[in-house]
Amino acid sequence: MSPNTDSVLEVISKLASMPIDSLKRETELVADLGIDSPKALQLLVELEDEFGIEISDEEAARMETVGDVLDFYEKA
Amino acid sequence: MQMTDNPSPSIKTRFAAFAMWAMLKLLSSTYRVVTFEGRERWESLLADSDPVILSAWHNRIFFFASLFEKRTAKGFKMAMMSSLSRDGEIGAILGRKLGGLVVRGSSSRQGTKGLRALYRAIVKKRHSIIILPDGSKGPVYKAKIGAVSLAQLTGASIIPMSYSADRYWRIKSWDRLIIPKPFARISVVVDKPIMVDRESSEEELESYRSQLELALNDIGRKTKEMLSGVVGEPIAEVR
Repeated sequence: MSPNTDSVLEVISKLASMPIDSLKRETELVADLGIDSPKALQLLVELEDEFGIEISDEEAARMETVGDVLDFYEKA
Repeated sequence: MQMTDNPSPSIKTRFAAFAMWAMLKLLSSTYRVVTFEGRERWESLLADSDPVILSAWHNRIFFFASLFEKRTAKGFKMAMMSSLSRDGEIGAILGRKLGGLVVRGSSSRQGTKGLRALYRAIVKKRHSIIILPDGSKGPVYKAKIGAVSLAQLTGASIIPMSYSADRYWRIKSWDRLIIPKPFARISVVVDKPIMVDRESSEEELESYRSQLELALNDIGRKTKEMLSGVVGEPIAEVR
């Protein structure tokens, strides 16, 4: 079963140290949340560990905004 | 996950890699390791089943490459990241010749993909990895956070390493690569492991990064001190 939006936002919020309600679909992971390569690795590991769905490198490369991450789980 | 070299490196690149490998084999056969602190730690790596993150400054890779080859020849599983540049291509070919698993990427280009490949090498393939934390472009002697992030996420400990040689060439590269001259006397330190807690905050991760940087600089100085005044026969062959 796909995780709900709030669960995904909670993981992103915790990693970026940003309140959940400040995260919008158009929020950019790198430019707005400062998620550089090491943090991106941590985000991907925590998403995979939390929800048990593997994210390929190609899918990870397409995740530029919070909305892209949510879309991945909506389709999963 | 990209785990192979460029499928068609140019003849020039392949020749450069072969020349570097031949030089490494020739020169390393003449080196004399006169002091080796942490030797038991180094030799236990083969027996230990838990992967580790070996960490050395970028300009120390030449001599360590010969030590790594001795480990991989004895079954030590090791992975490394090589940048996407032409120099990185040469490094990738060399890494494979030395028995390592090579992933391509760098801190600046395809960094996440490269780090993920190293993460998977540790977690899924149970390989130890070598990270040169001021690579791939410097600044020299400034550690980036990648090794600490991987240690945090995998539970593998970071093992800082350094060496000094009594005579060497300095290459005019960004890292001023050290190539020990023939018959150089060499001192090595393999330092105590740095363990990174999984629940570390951002500030704590920065503290670990700083700890790694300090450790590499400290043992770099220590190897020079160990070398000065050391006269005599080499210790038994390093395996």
